[in-house]
Amino acid sequence: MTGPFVIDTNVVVAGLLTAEAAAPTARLLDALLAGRLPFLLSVELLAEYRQVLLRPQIAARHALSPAEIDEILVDLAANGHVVETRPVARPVFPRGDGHLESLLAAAPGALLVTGDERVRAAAGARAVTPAAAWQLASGAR
Amino acid sequence: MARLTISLPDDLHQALKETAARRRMGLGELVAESLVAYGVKTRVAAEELVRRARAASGLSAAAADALAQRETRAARRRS
Repeated sequence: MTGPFVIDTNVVVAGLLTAEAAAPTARLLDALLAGRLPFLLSVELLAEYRQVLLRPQIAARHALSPAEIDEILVDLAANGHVVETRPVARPVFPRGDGHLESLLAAAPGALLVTGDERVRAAAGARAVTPAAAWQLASGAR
Repeated sequence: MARLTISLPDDLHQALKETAARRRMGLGELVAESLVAYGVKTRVAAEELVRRARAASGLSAAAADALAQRETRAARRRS
């Protein structure tokens, strides 16, 4: 089995917003909620999921209440493995992405899944696109 | 409605019966309420919320990706 994965916020958000059920982000989110994919979380990353899902531009699209968003996040948290992190000594990730770098540093075998090219460039071989992650995950089953 | 047979220690079974009687509830009802309070929920709730969100949004995969990346990046700039 591949992984565990660290799922960047943009993947969770896109997975909730796309009406294309076959989109890699949608498939990944469905697999996370069904407990079919091993993934890691930190308190900071979970808080960021919530923060971005409740931003006005996003909330206007999904039309869910904060309580309903929390229901989804509770299920995600229940299926993920929460890792304790600390800031890395010499960060290479862009400013603001430090929580992802800390999570990867705390879990050497983990692979970051992100739609953000800048984060993938910083993470190098430890990051993949949602499409590549879905391919890895479905190939491993 | 599904039926489930479970084994409980005698004292816990007695406590369950007494609590149910005190609260004028059936045993099954009290067990179900306890499971929900303990965090055991059906998966349907979150899946249904995701289904609703996707239907409301109606975005293509590319548009959802672009919006999600833009808003995540904006949130990180503010942090």
